Amino acid sequence: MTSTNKLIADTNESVPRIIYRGKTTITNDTATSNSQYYGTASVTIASIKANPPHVVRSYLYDSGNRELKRLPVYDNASVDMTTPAFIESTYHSLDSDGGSLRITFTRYSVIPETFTIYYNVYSTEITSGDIL
Amino acid sequence: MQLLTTDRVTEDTNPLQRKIVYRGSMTVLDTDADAVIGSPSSTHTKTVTLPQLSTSEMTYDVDVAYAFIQSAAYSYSPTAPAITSFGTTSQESMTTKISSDNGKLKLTFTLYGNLVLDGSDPQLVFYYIVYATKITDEDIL
Repeated sequence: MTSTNKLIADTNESVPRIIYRGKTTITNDTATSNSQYYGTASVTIASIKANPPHVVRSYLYDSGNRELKRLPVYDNASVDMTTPAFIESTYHSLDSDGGSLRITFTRYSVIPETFTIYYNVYSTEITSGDIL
Repeated sequence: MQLLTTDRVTEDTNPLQRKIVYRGSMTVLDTDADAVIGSPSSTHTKTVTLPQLSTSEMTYDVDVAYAFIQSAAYSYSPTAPAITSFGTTSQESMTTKISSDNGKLKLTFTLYGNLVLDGSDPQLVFYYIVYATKITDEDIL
């Protein structure tokens, strides 16, 4: 946690600023019907309201190669481009968990793996309306 | 490629309020040493290391768009990652990776698509913007 509600109130929302940093672990080990493995991970940030929704950026960390992949990740190994054949895809979505911001990460891959995901919540809101 | 910053600018930056410290572009050709993986021309990867930007203090954030330039005329420019034309021969997607090359920021852009880039029209150009920020307080790069 790198922020407080007071910091949020002080922030000019037209100048995006990180108000929360966090990390979570995602494991995609549920087999799907098309030879992929699926997994989700959710985090609820009690100190940040879901509405209006904040801008979130997230990154998949590959510790073996020491590199960050910006989400969403869509890696495609298909040479036959007539058929989508993602070897991995990872993305996040936002919703409300009892009024607090919840971020859900979803990952598909042809290999069951576990990764750390780092995420940043910015002071800028996607919209001024309540949509979640 | 235009240099818009120095190490000092990076030092001045508040990592909680990301700031543009670098803008660059690069044209991708099949003949580039690191451009083509697989066949036929299905994956194009370009890597750049920015010696001005140290990864010891910042992890950085990157926006990238790719454009197909045809006879100096704008064709189209999706902001990556983008998925276009699912299930057709023009399908494209793109991944951005952030890493460290001996302490300096290294960016890797990979574009998937059934593309032949031989220098004739259209030319593929990656445009990228680097923001100074700290994705995490941990030392991960």
